Amino acid sequence: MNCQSFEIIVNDLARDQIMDATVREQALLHSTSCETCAVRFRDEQTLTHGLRELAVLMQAETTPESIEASLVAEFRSRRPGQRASSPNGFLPIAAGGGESRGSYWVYAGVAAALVVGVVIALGVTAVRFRNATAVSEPVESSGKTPSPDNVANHTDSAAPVTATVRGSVENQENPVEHTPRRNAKRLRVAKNTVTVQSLNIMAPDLEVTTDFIPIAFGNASNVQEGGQVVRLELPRYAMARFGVPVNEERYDERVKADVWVGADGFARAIRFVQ
Amino acid sequence: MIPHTDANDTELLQRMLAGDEEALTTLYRRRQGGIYRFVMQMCGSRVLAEDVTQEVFIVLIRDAQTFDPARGSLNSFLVGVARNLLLQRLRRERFYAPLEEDEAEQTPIYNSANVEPLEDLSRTEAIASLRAAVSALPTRYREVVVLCDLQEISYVEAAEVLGCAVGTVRSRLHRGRALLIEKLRPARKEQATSAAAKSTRCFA
Repeated sequence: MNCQSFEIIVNDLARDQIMDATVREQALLHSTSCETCAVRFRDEQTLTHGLRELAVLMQAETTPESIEASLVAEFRSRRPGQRASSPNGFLPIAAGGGESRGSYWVYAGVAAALVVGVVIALGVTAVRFRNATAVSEPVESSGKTPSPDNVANHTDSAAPVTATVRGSVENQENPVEHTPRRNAKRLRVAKNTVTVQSLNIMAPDLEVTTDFIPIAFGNASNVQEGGQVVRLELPRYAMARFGVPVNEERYDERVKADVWVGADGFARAIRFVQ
Repeated sequence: MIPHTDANDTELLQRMLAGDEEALTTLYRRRQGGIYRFVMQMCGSRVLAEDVTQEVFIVLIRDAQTFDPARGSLNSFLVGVARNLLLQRLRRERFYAPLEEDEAEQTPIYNSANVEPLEDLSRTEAIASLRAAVSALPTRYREVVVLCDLQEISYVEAAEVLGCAVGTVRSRLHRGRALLIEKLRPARKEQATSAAAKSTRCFA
């Protein structure tokens, strides 16, 4: 036996643990021939002796009787075999399960659930935001946001069908000041307005129309007061003001639109027809 | 029916679950000492040891179903619960006050240079030093020293208590004892000599 092998078994040797008799003899023989290992062995034996003395001294230590009494009281307060939830939130701890792993897993689960909840909330918010910007994105990306002058010129050159319609377009107050997001919001509002949607009576069966979009200075709720729908043509880029996506390649084409003109002669809502 | 005193732990537990109060008291009297001493040797606090011992048996009363005989003995289970409760308490209360290294070195229990090292000091002092040295060990080494050397339970049982492999218990015990010897050995000049001695070890 060499010193390395001796080092491995010196604990068991000093603690009188059960081991192979041959190995034991070899180890003892080695400790007589190697001074270093002999010192090591003596240290271990001395330590073992001291620990045993300490254990014997503490053997008399015991719990006070009051603990037993309180445990019996606790036992009596429960029905046989009943497993009640602890009143103080005490979690059962299984032996050998590591250091309070049960409670760690509870905390970890709650934390994970919170993180997942936050991620889902952020995701939903992001998707909504993306959808809102996607509606107005073509206007922003075109780089040719029509100015009020352009719109007016185009409207003029377009020779609108009726004066009423022309007036409705011209009377719009700073129509381009509506940001794309606001337009998109307005578009969504229009989609949700049942009254306005119900006015889709002039469109032929083959026509595809957008919902009526309330015009800024009008009040969509006034449609109850009566009025009429007028078909006209507008430059396609005029759609951008109302938050409708515009294809840049067909920017200058004309597009049909129905304008709801109120009883007072003002345009209340508009929809585009394809 | 087997008398309570002759019944093994599992039988007593079954009777206790059936509502037998005497089974509980028998089990308690049989096992409370080991648990109490284990906690006390781990933390050195009598009050904490009493608290933890009581909590262990409350756990047994309330949640005895969590004990699985296939995973080990009831004693291992109880000591394991005590260990976990103790570590929780220590973590929560920051009860630990590690002894200074110097303090341990100033009160050596023995000098390995002597043939009979314990003769150098009175027995009381030696025991006190040893107890202090055990308390100053890192937790992972202290618990195996307490379990295997002070409680004198087997490696297998210690592994069940700690929830680790037997080999881990052995290696921790080896390291823990080596640390104890180092702590109890006075800081001395012979460090150089021991280093020299190491190099002269024979590797046959």
